[in-house]
Amino acid sequence: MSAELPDWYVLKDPGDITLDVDNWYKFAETRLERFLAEDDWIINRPSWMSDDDWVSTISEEIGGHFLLRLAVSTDPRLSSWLVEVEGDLFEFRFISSNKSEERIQVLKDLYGKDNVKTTEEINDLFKINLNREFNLADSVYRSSKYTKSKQKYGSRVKVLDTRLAVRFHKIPKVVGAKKALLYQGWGIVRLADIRLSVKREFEKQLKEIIEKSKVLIEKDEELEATVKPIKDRISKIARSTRYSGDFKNLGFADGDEIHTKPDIFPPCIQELVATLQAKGHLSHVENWQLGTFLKRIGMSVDDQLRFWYSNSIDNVGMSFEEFVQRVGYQINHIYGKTGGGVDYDPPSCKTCINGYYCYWAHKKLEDINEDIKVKMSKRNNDVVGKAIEEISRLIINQRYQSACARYFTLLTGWKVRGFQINHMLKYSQDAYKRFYKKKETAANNSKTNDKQKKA
Amino acid sequence: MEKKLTPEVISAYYEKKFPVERFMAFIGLSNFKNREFGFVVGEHNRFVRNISFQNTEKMLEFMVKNSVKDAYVGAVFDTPPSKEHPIQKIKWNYREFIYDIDIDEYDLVRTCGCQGAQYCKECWSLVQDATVFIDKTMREDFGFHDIIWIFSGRRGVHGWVRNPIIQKFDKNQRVAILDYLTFIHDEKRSQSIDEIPNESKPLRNRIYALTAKSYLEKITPKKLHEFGISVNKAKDIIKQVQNSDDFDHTKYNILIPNDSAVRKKLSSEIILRRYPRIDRKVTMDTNRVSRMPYSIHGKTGQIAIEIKDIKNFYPDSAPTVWEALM
Repeated sequence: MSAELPDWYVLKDPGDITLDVDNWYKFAETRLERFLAEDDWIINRPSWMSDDDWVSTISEEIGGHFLLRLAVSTDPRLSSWLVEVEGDLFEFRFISSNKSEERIQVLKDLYGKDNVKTTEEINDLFKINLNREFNLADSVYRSSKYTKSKQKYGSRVKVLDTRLAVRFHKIPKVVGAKKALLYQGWGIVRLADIRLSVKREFEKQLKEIIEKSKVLIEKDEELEATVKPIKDRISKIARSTRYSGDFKNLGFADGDEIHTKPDIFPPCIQELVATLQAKGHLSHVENWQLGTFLKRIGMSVDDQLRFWYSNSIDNVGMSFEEFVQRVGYQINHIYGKTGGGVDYDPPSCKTCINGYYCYWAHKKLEDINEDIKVKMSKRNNDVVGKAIEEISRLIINQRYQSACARYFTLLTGWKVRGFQINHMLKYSQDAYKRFYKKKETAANNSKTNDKQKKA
Repeated sequence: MEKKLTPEVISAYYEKKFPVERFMAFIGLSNFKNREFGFVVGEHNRFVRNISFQNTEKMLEFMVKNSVKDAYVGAVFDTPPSKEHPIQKIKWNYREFIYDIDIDEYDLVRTCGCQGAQYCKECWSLVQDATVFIDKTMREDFGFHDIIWIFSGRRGVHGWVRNPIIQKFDKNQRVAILDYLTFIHDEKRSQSIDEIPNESKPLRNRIYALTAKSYLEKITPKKLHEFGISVNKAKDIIKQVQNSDDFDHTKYNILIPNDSAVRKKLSSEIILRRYPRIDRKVTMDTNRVSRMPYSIHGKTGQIAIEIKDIKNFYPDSAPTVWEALM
C-alpha cells in the first residue's frame, strides 16, 4: 500500500469538508491561541482516539488554517506572520513524525514526485550501493556537532540522520554548502541538513497559496466581511508578538542622522549595503529588507531615492529624475505612500533566516570568521578567537540569532537578553545606546563639569 | 612576421569558412530569433549587444558586412532582443551553463614564470587538469552529460553544459554548483583554502585521484618533506605516482602517511596549486554573452574551435583564420 500525505500537512487538498461559519471562527481562534501558547501539537493519531474524533480534530485544524489563510491574504504583514508560525509548526511536525514514508510523501509534494527518492530507490535505479561506494556508515553517528542535538531531540537524532535523495537543483543552498553528497544529479542528504530548506519550500508554497486566495477575497465582499473579525484578531496578535509593535520610537536622538552611522547597523544590513555597493544590485527581498530598515532608522523617501540612485546599476545612463520615475514606486511603496498604504516594518530575524538575508544563516562560515578577524584585528586575539569559536558552533547548530547576539556581545561588551537577537532594529537600537548615547551623556557630563569649574 | 587581422580577412572567413550548420547544431535551432548576440565592430572596437536575427543568413550577412572582430552569443528571451527591446526589459527564458577557465586565474601559483595571457606547456596543464576535473564532476556528481569544451581563442577554455534542465537554472542554482566546486576563496589575493567536508566524498575522491596525481608527479621530495614526510618516503610516493596509470583515491590513501596534520597540509597545498579556478562571474551571470563557438578571436586571429581531447590540446594547435582561409 502506498503511503499518503499526513493529515497535519496543511498544503494537502482536504477534499470535501463542510464547516459552518460559527465553528469556523472557533477553529481559527483555537489555532491562533495554540500558536500563541506554543502548545504541543498532535502529530499522529493517539491510540486512544476514535476514528470519528480524529477526523473531527483534523477537520478543525484544517478548517481553522483555511480561515486564517483567507483572513491574512490582503495584508502582506499578516500573511508573513502566518507563514512564519505555520512554517515553525510544519517543521516541528515534519521532523517529529515517526512515519518516514509520510515524510517522503511530504517531500514529494513539495519538490515534485520525480524529484525525491529513498536511498534504496537510488541504489536500484543506478545499480549501486551508496553505503559501500561512499562509505556512508562511518559518518553518521560520529559527528560531534550532533551530540548536542541528541540531548535536545532524544530519539529524533536518528530521524535527523536518515538519508534520502532529492534532485540537487531543488536544494541549491544545501548543495552550495557542500552538505549533500552528489550522485548523478541526486543530492544524498541527511534530514538534519535539509530541514531548513524543506521549511523554506513549505513557506514559499504557502505564501503563493495565500497570494492566490487574495483574489477570492477581493472579488467577494461578503467573504471579506466574514473574515474581517478574525483578520482584526490576527492583526492584534501579530503586532504584539513582534519585537515592539511600535518601531517609530526607537530612542534615537532628534535630528540624529542614524543612517550615517553604519557601525550600528546589524551585520545583515552592513552586508547588504556592501553587496549593493560592490555589485550594484540586490535581490527583490534584499531590496525590501534594506529599504524598510533604512526607513525605520529615519531615512526620508528622498534620501533613500538618492541612496539607491548612487549605488544601483539601474541608474546607468539615467538621470536622477528618470531613475525616480522608474523605481520611485517601490521606494514609495515601502513608505506606504503607494500600493496598499501599509507602513511596512523590516522583517524579523526569523523571517530573514527563512527567506530574506541573514548574515549568519546565509554567509559562508569561513567568510564570517574572516570578516570578524578583520573587523576585530585590533582586539585581543584570544578574546576574538574564543568568540569566533563560539559563533561558529552556534552557526553549525543553526542558532543564527544566538550567533548574532554573541557577536553583539563581542562588539559592545553588552549581554543580550535571552541570548538571541530577534529583530534588526533591536540590534541597532542597542548598538546606538552603547556607542552614541553613552558618548552624548559623557559629553554632556563633561560640559556640565566644565561649567561648574568655570563657576 | 605578425599577420594583421584585416576586415577583409574577417569577412572572407564568415562568408566562406564559418561552419554555420555546426554552429546552429551547437546552440540549437529553436528560438534562434530570440537569442541575443553581441559583437565588437568598427575601427574603434565598439561593443554592441541587444542584437538578434531572424535567421542565420541575416546573422552571417551582419557579420560579413561589419567584419565583426569578436562575436558573442547570449541568452534566449521571450522576444527578440533589440535596441527597442533591450534584454533588461524582456523576459529571460534560458541560457546554457558556461564555465570559463583562463590561465591568468592561476597567476599566483604559476611557477613557470608566465603571467597574464602568457602560457607554456607547463602552466597550460593547469587548464587541462581543471577541464578534466570539472567535466567529470558535471557528469558524475550532477548527472549532466551534454558538455562541450570550446577554445576561447587566446588563453583559456569555455565549457558549455547544454542539458535542457540546466539551461533554465536561475542564478541561485548556478551559484550552488559553483559553491559546491569551490575550495579556494579570494583566488587573486588571500587564497584561503576550505577543508574538504565529509559530505563531499565524490569531490574528495576526485581531488585525490586527479589533482593529487598531477601535483605529486611533478613535485620534489624536498618539497614533500616540508609537509612532514620523510625524504625516502617522499621519493617512494613520487615514484609510485609517476608509474601509476590508474591512480585513484584508494592508492592516495595507502601512499600518504596516516597523520592527520600531514594530510591536512598536503591536501590544502594540492588544492592551492592545482585545483580548478573558475571565473565565477561568467557562470553566474545568466545575461552574459560568451564567445561564439567557431568565431574568430579579435586579438589572436585564432578560431574558437571545439576541443575533442583536452589532454592533447594546446592553444598553438588551434587553427588561425589565415590557415582556415588557405
